[in-house]
Amino acid sequence: MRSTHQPSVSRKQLENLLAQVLVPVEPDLRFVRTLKARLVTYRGSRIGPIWALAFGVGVATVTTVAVLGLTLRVILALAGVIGSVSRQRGEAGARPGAVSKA
Amino acid sequence: MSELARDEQDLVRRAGSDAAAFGELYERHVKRIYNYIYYRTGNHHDAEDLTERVFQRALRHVDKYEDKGVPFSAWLYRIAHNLVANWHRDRSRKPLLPLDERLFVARVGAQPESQAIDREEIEVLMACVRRLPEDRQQLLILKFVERMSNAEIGEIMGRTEGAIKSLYHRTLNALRDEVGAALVGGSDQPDG
Repeated sequence: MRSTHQPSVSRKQLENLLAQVLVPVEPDLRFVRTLKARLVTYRGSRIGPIWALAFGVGVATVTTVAVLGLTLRVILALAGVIGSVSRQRGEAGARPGAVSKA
Repeated sequence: MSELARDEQDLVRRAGSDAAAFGELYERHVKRIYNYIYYRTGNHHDAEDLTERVFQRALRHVDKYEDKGVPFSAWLYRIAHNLVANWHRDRSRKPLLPLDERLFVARVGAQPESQAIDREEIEVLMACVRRLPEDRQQLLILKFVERMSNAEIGEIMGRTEGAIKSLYHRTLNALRDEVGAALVGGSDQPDG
């Protein structure tokens, strides 16, 4: 509701008063520094979207299983070769004896 | 586009992936955003809390920021404006704007008696400012605290320079009526 009184302050006085009251304030410097540090840390700790995380875990799991499988196959293959060579050497050593018995 | 504006746009483009670029933007704007929120909320605690939220939100969405020819600060003020509006809605209250002691320090040479009068005037003025619609409060803060021109305020508030000039004129008239009525009403009241 408007007053019936004539305004007691002029526009210029009001502007001067506003200029005196609405003055810039300085935030706490510790707050400013801490917030900046937190924002930088926050960016560093971002893990990204959940699908990217799931994709990463999936790729890592498949790769690990593939590497383990390949390693196992190589070990088994080497064991087979070593066994085969040993058997051949054993057979070669036993053959002269077998001939003499005959 | 000025060199400063080009430099800022370059920082904004890099801020999505470069922490240092975002840090530079933060340094440039944190005080202005803090001031804006401080005068809208009325206390340092909430000003710090909301300023933090503004920059966290900006950090999350800066890679989606589109340059539409307005300053980056306009985008930050928009975020701050929305968060302050939510803050007021959540609390369903509008606290008195602070009558911080530092407001009186600038008055060089003021005597104790005149300070008492000034304080009363200021309390009345701030109460009247607090009752203004949000856009008018925003206009006064940007004009007096941030010392922005009508054109700059227009960019931030999404209005033309002429519209801001007109809004400012209407705001001062309304405020003058309110303050005049409050001061007259206050002085008319009986002592006992």
